[in-house]
Formats: sequence, C-alpha cells, structure tokens
Amino acid sequence: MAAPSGDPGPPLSAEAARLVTDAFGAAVVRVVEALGWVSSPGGPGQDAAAPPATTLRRLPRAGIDAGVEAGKQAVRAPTTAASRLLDVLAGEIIPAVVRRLDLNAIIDRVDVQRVVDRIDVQAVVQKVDIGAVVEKVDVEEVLARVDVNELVGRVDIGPVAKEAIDAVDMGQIVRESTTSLGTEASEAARVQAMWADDALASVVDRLLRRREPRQTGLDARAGR
Amino acid sequence: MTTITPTARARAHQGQRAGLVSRLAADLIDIILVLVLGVVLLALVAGVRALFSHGFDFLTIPQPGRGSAAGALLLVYLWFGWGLNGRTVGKMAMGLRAVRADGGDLSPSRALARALLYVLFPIGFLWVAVSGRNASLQDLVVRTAVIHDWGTRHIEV
Repeated sequence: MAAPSGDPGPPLSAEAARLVTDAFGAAVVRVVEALGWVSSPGGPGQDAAAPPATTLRRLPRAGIDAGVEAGKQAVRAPTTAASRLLDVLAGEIIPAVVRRLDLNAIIDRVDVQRVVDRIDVQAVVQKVDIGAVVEKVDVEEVLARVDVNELVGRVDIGPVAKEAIDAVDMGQIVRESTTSLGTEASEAARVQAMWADDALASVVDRLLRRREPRQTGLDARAGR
Repeated sequence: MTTITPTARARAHQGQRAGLVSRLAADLIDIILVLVLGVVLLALVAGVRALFSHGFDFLTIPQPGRGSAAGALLLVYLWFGWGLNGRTVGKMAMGLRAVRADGGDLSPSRALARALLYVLFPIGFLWVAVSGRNASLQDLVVRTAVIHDWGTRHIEV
C-alpha cells in the first residue's frame, strides 16, 4: 500500500511512515494467517483447497484493515506535527533569532588569521586556469570602456616632465652625439682615402705593367 | 672586382703601408696647420713688440728669411710629431703612423732625418705612387714607413 499522494509532510517523513505502517500491517496479517483466522488471498496452491470466503471469515480481515489504517494515522500524526513545528521555526523563530544576533561580536570572536593560515593559497592558485580566465576577457571591450582622454587629463604632466628632464643629462647626450658624428665623419674619410689609395695604385701598377700586387706589409724585424 | 665593406677594408688595411692619397691628405692637413701656426706665432711676436712700441705692427719677414722660417717651423713640427709617437695632427686625423720599416718606433734622430729630407726635398714624397711598397724616397733613405693605425679601439665604419 502506497502513501496517499498530496501528503503535506516532508518526503522523508512520509516514506518512513509508509515503511513502518506497511511492516506493521504485514506482521499483523501474518499473525492472523498463522492463527488460521483468515486465508491468504492470491496463493495459487491454497485457492483450490481453501473453502469459499464467508461473511464470518471476512470480518477479521476488515478489522485488520481498520487497525492497519489506524496505525498509519497514528504514525503520520507526529510527522505532520513535526512538519508544522519546522514551518513555525523557519518562518518566525529563526528570523527573529537572527535579528537579535550581534554578528559583529561573533565575527570578533573568530580568529580569522588562523583560518587564513590554514588555507594553502598556492594550491588554490595552482588549481585556477589563468589562461582560460584571460582568454575569456574581451580586452577590446575593456579598452572601449576606458575614457583615455579623461585618464590623461587627470595626470599632472608638469612634475613628471620636469623629473624626466632633470634625469636626462642633455649636455652629455650632445657631447656624445657630436663626438660620434665627428668620429664617423673622420672614419668615413679614412676609408675613402684607403679606397682612393687602392684605386690609384691599381691604375699606376697597370700603367707600369706590374704583375704582382704591391707589398704593403712591413719588413720582418731582422734581430733588432 | 668584389665588393668590400668599409669596415672590412679598414680592418684589412690596419698595419699595412698607406698609399699616396691617405698620406697626401694627412700632409695637407699638416701644412695648413703649420701655416696657421706660423701666422699665430707672428701675431704673438707682433703683440709682444706692441707692448714696447707705439702701435700694433703685424710682423712681416722679408722673402729670403720667410721661406727659411716656414721651413724651420715645418721641420720642428714634423720632428716633434714623428719623434714623439709617429703621429702629426694630420696623421692622427687620417689614422696613420710613421714607423721604422720593420714596424718599430722612430728614434728622435731618425725622425729628425726624415723631417729634414721632407722639408728639403718634398717632391720625393710622390714616389709613393710608383713604389711597389708604397714608400717615398725619404722612406727608402731613412728606412721608414707610414702605416694605417687606427689604434686599439673597435673599428666600425
């Protein structure tokens, strides 16, 4: 027998009530059958041998059914009462208690530092897939929301520029670049002269029908 | 003819005897400098004389003495430069150095002999163009050479 549908009680209580009443009913039926007061319905072997049911025989069965139903009601009653009690607790008492609680006092009593010390931040961080998070960020949209002009307008450029100019040794830069320019020009002139040396030597050597290239290396030191 | 980068050319010529154009450029710089030096010296002498006379009179030297004075100034200048470290201002500018034919430093006496030969017989310098070893007549006489020597710094043209 199933519990009646639409029971307002919580599902767990209803299930428990059903199990208890079923067990109780089954036990009563077994006892009555064992005493031979009533025949078990549906048994194929017994149907042929069992005598036809009479009003007298049906009586105990009706009594048992009534008892079983009464048992069910008895079990269900406390469940329903508990459910109502819960409703009252959740609806009125707990909110009232919460209203009276001084949460700040409770928080003051909690040793937050100890809790924090227990947290393995490294492990937590390692579990986070930063790449996936970053991929989800739409940088373009973020940038579109930023008013760059206003941001720049807030910056006081004057002191920054002054600090930057103070940090730069303009004289040193001018000296270095001038020296560098002078060096580059002089080295370029030297290489040009080298090129002209080679070109002139080549022309003269050709005019003189000289076959071997010029010996421009220094003499070997003769033991001096 | 294969293309040679300026840096490669500069490196390849280090320690090698310089040709006519490089040496001529260095010598022209030296000659201009000596001329300026001469004018400055004359102005200095005139200035000192002005302290003891009535007015500033720029010193002029009459012709026979003028050439001798210029030659003497050039001689001292070249001797000083070559005898000290083988470099006059012109040679410094062109990255050249006067050395002994075997690469050793010039002694003061050899530097003086070389300077004297250059002042007395400057045309001998042109032998550099013809010489198979880029040597002037003075180089051959006093056994010297002029080489490319940019110093020890990194060459990057």
